[in-house]
Amino acid sequence: MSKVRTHGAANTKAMVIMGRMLKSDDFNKLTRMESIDDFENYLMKNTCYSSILNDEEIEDKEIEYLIKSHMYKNYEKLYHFYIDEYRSFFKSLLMRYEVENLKLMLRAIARNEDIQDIRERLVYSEVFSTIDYGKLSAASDIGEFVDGLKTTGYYKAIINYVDENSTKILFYMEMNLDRLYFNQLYDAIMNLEKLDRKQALELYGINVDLLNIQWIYRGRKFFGISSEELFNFTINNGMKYNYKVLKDLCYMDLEKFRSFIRSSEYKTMFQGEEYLMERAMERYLFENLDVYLKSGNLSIAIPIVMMFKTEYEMRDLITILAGIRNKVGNVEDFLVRSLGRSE
Amino acid sequence: MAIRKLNMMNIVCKNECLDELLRDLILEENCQFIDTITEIEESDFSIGVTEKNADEILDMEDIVVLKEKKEVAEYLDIMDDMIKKLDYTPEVRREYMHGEHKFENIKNEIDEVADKFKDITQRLHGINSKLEGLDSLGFINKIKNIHVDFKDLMNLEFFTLKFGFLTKEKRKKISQNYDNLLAIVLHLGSYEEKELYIIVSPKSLDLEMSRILRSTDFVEIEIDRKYLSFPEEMVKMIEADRKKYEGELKLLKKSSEEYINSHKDTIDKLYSKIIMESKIDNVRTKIAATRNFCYISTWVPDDHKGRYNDIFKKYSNVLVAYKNSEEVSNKIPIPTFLKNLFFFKPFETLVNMYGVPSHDELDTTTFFGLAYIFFFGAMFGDLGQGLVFVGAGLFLVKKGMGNFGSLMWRIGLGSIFFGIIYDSFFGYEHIISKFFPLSIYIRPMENINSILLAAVASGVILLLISYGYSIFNKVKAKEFGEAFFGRNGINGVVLFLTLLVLIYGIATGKDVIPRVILYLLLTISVVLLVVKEPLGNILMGNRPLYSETPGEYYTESGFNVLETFLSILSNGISFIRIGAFALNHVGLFIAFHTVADMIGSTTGNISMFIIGNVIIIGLEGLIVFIQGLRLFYYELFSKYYKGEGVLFSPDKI
Repeated sequence: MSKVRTHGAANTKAMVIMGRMLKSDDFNKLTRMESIDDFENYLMKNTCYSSILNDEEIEDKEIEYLIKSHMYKNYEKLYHFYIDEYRSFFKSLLMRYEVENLKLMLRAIARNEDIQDIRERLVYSEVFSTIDYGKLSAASDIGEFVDGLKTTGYYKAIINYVDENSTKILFYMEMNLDRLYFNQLYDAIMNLEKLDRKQALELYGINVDLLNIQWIYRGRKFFGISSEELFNFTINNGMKYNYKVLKDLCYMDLEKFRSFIRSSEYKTMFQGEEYLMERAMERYLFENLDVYLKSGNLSIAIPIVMMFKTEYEMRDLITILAGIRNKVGNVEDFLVRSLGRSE
Repeated sequence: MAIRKLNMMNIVCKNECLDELLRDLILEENCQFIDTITEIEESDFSIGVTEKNADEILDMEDIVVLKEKKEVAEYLDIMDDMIKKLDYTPEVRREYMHGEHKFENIKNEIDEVADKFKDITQRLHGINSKLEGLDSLGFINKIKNIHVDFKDLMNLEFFTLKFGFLTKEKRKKISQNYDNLLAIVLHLGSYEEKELYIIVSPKSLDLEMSRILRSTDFVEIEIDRKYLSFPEEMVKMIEADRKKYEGELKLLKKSSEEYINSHKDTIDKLYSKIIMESKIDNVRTKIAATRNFCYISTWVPDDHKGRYNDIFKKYSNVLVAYKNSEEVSNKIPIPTFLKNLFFFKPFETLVNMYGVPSHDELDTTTFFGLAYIFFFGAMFGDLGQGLVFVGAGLFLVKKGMGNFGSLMWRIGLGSIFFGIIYDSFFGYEHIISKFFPLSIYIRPMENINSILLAAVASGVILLLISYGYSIFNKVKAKEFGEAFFGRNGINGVVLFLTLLVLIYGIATGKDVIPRVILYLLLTISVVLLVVKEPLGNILMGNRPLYSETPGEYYTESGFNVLETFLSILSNGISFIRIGAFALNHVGLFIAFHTVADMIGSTTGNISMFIIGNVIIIGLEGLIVFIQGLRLFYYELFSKYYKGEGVLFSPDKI
């Protein structure tokens, strides 16, 4: 019974939201659009985005903003169905976007760009946010920025690095913000009920595995980071790779590393071009989501899957937009989902 | 009426007198500034166009919103920093804020004072940070028993030693990777909830090691070279130094206190002024300005209009215009200015907990207050315990918990009143009647049925009052459909009364009104309920008749009728709890009384009397407090009260 109480309403809501999502067919059509206007029109006339893209003239830049805020609206709908531990779990899950925003702003400050400019383009949800964007965007250097986070949990994670030299400061701060997010999310998962915990840990674990693979490979190949440092920044509690495997991976040479992954279930990571690694990772997750829908009857899995799917839909739409703008012919190769090439 | 009218005041003034004007208005404590630019964009900002003020309007084209002065916050920080280091809390006084002062002057004055105190603050800060540094060396106490000279250890030729803190998580990472690390990582113990480690690594790997440690959040503790020795010696040296510094600090504090005292006035004045400046700066972001003029929009209470004239007289070239709240664009929310009689003021908190009334809604605080005192008193009627409530309330008010305290003594009055009627003094009945033999007493346990009936009857009266409020609010909001045919409108009252008379008739067998008429009324009422939306729209001449498809509408209104009947029933019966709690109150004491009788001794009697009363006042008092709120929020507020307003909150210090 208690499962019904915790999940009944939220699962139904999540299923409804997923039911309204764009289908492959929609994506097939959208990838073939030639102008932003067509793109907009299609979304407006045929999809659930009609509610946010009303008839008024929308500027080119604005459409991305609107698509992103549509995602947050979906999340907010879900949020109100949960209480207590479950609510804090979702809060932790959404911390990722906050962390991403902080990282963007940090980068802007480090490069002496106008942070106000960035702020206007950041989308965030008032419901979950703990940070004061107004105050942060008034900061003129990293010290002030960090000061503006004083009342939040982020402060402790980065204050140690304020005096770091300017070439490394971003690296350390970003790594620590990410780590904070993963630790918090893990703690939140551990507070869930048994079955939910199991499912959430699985999804979390797969995500962590993929991120670790990416981190080690890139850190090695592009940044020449030492094995010890690589290991120190790996994320704990992966699904398949415990610390022993991770350690081996950190000390493996690149060729061996590649073949190791190729012979594992994460082989798709190295099947495509190297620059598409991130997409490969997302595609792997995306394609594994439906498994949870089938098995996850009344559980936390359905809302999580919905959140993943909403995000991937948002990303794909924005990728297509970029494709149209830059006249990229094979935009479907860059999407998270793989589209059956129906002609 | 408890909701006072607010006016929008639009002001145009010269740029140079803006700060001064804002200061005067803020000190009045009755202005809630709003974003002028929103008002201007709604083409709402009203200054009559005459030849005289053509200048003021002429360059409104290139209007901008004023920005914060970053310097104000900076100088506030300087002040805060200084008084923190001096360990002094300045007195903020309004009279220091009045008068003419420019921020430029305040800046200079702060610079001057900071300069004067620079020597002291720096010395204080110096000693304090030295003491803090010594605190961080406290861990040496933990290794007191090791007989190794740290001087030798720290000066090793081929190895580097580092002390510092690691998080548990990172410590685990390091231990998992021991086989690859060319370092010894030793756990020294926990110190102030952090894990202390000593790390030994070859000097040739210093660079790598420092990078690795950086990736683990390692916080190193620096040890001053002069302390390096055997740990036991080190502890002694550190202690000696601590004593020395503490002595210095004491002396310095004494002399600084004298110095502060002689400059107390200056600091207080400056601090008050900079607080004011920062408030002005806050408001400034809502002001729109052109090259020469500033435009201010602010809500002010209607009856305050005249008071500002004196302020405006001081400035030349100030244009002021007032608008009724109805004339303001509907994109700007109108705040609600509550003003209730002293006696009912504390109840605003409880009403606002549900929602602040909208500016055009009837304020329900007085009704709420009276009824709440009645609820509480009827459920918790006891002369003695009521007196305790009154006493405790007055005590809390004195202790500074004004809001809750004043609520408490008011509901205590209710308890006293009903306590007298119930003839109950600290749970003992028949005591009051012994001293004052009157015929007014109704003891709940002896009159169970009449108490329960009276409870429902009082509920019916309160519900009728709620219907009244509901109808009034709806007519005021021009929702005539709802007001006449809705379930909380006139139709609802008719339905409610008809059902009451019908039930009365069935229960007693005496028909006040012939049944046929009652059934007819019922039918008409139900039909009206079903068709209220289209009917309302026809009468008002609105089209379309339905806000959804007729099919959907009628399904919904079918259920609506069902729910109406259910809620009338449950609303009415809900009030039984007033009687039930009155009984329960007596019952609970009877239980304690019985226990006391079983104990038999006088001590037992007295202790049961005290325990019983404490439990009843604490526990039952809380329950009744909540039940009273519940009755109001669910049964009454849901009928008529929306509470979608925003409180009027004037900008003040």
